[in-house]
Amino acid sequence: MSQRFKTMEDKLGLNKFSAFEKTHLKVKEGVNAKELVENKLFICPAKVYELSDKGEAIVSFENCLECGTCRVAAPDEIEWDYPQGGFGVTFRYG
Amino acid sequence: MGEEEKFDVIVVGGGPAGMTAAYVMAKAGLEVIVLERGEFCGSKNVFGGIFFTNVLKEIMPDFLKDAPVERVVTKRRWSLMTPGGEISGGFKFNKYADGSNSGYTVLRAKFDKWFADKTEEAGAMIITGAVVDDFIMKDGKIAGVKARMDDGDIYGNMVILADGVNSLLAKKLNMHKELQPEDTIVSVKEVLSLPEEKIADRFNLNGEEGVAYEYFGYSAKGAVGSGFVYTNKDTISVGIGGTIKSLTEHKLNPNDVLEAFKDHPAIAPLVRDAEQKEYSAHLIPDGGYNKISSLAGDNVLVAGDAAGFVNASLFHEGTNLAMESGRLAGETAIAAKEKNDYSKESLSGYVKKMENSFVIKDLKQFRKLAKTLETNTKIFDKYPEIMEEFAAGMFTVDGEPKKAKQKRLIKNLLKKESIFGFIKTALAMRRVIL
Repeated sequence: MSQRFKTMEDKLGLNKFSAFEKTHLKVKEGVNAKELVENKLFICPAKVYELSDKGEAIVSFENCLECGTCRVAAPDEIEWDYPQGGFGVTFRYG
Repeated sequence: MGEEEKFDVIVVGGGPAGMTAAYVMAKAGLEVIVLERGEFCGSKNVFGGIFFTNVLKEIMPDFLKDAPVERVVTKRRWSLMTPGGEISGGFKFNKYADGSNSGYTVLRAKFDKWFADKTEEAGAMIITGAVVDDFIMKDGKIAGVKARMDDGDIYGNMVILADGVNSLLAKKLNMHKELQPEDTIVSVKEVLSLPEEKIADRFNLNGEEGVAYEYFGYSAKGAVGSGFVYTNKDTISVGIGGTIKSLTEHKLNPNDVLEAFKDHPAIAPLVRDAEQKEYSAHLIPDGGYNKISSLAGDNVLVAGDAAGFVNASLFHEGTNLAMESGRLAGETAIAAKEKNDYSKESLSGYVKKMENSFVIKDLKQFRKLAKTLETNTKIFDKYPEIMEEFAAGMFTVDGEPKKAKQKRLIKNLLKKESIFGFIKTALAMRRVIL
């Protein structure tokens, strides 16, 4: 029986990423991070958006699968761009 | 690159739409450059799994000689998933093994790269690692693009935007409105490895044949969505998708839906002991005919997912629509070069060609489907449950006489949904699917 990965951390570990030094995802200033993550961005397939103990948004852009779900789910609250060319996720199967 | 090195056409995006356009144009002798943001063409591309090759076959009749296809799809099955099982129907036609149905499972990282190599051989220049942020404007008209890299100003007579579902560039030109949560599907998928002989046994296959299993009804934990299992050579692709709106309303993360899908009794035996290789996510434009972007402007055309060309109905077609739009955009660009006229009027030949193609005709036929599904959510939660109870009851052999059993089950069924409710939903579905 092969091992089954269920947690996001393990699953993302299967993929090839090369992180760029700068984020391509930003929560806009003045946005209530707690409401944003709890009401909208829980949908992110890579769970890139999480809350710190203080209720601030932690954006793990290096895990981003670049799907664009967050920009459709919360167009007014986040700034979304493609990462630098050649960086980010590289699908080996796709 | 400077203004002195000017291309006939700049293609943004190295997926099926952009690459088909580039291939056709390069074959006709045009100076073409393709800008791809990934490390290689295919490295950012994800889809369910079936590549319909009807368009590829026309532009490259001998593609099977070396195209990296996984399996030829001879067996398709559609299931109404219920909470505890499935009710399914489908076909298996061995005659499709000759490729006459044009459906092959492929892995995009390999396939798109192969197509890019073919296009380069045909004479196009392909630059990878090049993300395009903006246009170069001159006298109010597009004169090129700005790639985020050294020497990234690239000049051309026109641009073909094939930059995918998010197409920030088409939005910049106001050719495409922002994607809406109700008509955008987020899909997640796992590729899992499984020995070839296990795949053959598990899916009942001969040699190179493959299956496409599609799951509707209760496949996304009650949200508006569907699931799939496709067989590759020595891997399987398993995924689910749901509209962003519905997943949000159901408070569901797509990965949790995928995990539940894999645990479902209809799916678990298919993925058992398979080793997870990759986890991916991608958006699917599901707005259909009503949400197609503007297709032509001065010095610009839009093709593929960027234009919204996906038939997400029962047929799950996208890459072939992308290729057809890429081909027609390419042909339009060739004609524009002959006339030396890249104005909107000159390029609008593309719009006419698209309207006469299977792409827009099919999208027009299914234009009400997404809306109907969105407003008949019973199909995804209530009905699968009722159907399961009814079908499971019907085929339970327990000594109860059939007539009494049928009467009881129908009575029970009508307690949960009126006959008018059933008829209304059935009619709505018939109108949008057939």
